[in-house]
Amino acid sequence: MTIRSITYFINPGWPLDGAALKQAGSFMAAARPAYQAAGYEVQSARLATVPFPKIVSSLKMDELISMATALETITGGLGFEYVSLCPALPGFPESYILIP
Amino acid sequence: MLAATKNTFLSGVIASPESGVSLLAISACAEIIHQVASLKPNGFGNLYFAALGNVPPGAPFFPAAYHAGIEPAFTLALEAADLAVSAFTGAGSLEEARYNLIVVLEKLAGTLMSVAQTIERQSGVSFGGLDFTLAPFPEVASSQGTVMEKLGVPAVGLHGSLAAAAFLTDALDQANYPRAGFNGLMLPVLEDATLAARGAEGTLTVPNLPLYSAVCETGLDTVPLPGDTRPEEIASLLLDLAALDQRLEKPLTARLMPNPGKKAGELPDFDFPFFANSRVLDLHSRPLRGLLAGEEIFHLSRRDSSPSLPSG
Repeated sequence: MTIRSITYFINPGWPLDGAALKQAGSFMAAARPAYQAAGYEVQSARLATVPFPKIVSSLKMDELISMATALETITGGLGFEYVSLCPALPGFPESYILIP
Repeated sequence: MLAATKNTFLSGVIASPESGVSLLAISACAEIIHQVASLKPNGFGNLYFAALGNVPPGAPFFPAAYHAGIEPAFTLALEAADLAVSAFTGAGSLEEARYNLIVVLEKLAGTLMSVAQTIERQSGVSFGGLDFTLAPFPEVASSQGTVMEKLGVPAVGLHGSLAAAAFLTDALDQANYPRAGFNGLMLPVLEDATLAARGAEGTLTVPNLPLYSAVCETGLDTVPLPGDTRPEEIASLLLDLAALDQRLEKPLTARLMPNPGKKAGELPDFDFPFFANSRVLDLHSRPLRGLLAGEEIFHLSRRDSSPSLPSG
């Protein structure tokens, strides 16, 4: 058995909440070695947000891409391999066309 | 967004207890899968997208993971198919196999929880639980398909597979530990060496997967489909999954991977160490017609498992 992921859940806000992201990085800097020290392989550290229509309420494509790329870059530097910006929601029908 | 990012996953809700089954969202997700297939070579982009039905927040596996709270939290996704292979190997009875698996899960949960509680205390970040979904690694010794065949199924996809899936998930249900996410049997065709092999041989087909999802969890994962699959054909499958998750009140996802230029029976072109060799599977689908092809939202209530019978 291995740990496929330690998954950290956060509302990163927009503009991105630097303090919240710093806390996420500090958390993972402690959590990953703690499990490794206990003898477990940790394959990845992942960060999952609240659904993206609730982060960038304007749902403007250029703003969403700015948020997504910034979050990916910052969290990558904090030790997270993957990010989930989570689901498009039926209550925001236009959110689906922004995914591809 | 998927085109602009490298390590970011996204998803789309097709059904939930609040929203019901959204035919519009199903159609939108089918269109996303179709479009994303051409974003990266060989359709690999769809690794980063799934349609979600009834998935609660806090599930640690991607692409299903999302947060619903204000305060941060963490959960663990465990790649644990090898535990079931070991627990079932040499078991003299089904009861012994089940007992072996429950014991090992609870023992591991205890040590994982102990570390989690220390981290929680030191960081102030809440621990949300473990997801012991028996996720595989593409080796025979770490395969859900192998586990099902250890129980006595001649080849996954043949009759008996449904019972094996139910038995495994029932064992997980009986183990006592804090839960987050799916905690069921995961059947990702391309990530599981035995499932991939049975898909290539033709015993495991796409229509088998929603059938097994009725008694386990997660739905359809990393399913290689023909490149010319139309979004309307994908929507038909997503609707079945949405109906299943609403009627049974269970979380299900669909991560479907049309492989551009490939037909059913051909080798997919994925170059990814977490994928086993398989073949492109026939979707067995046609576009919906009539009322089901519309854009309505409808609700399905959970079927009462103990309906009152007329007297006499």
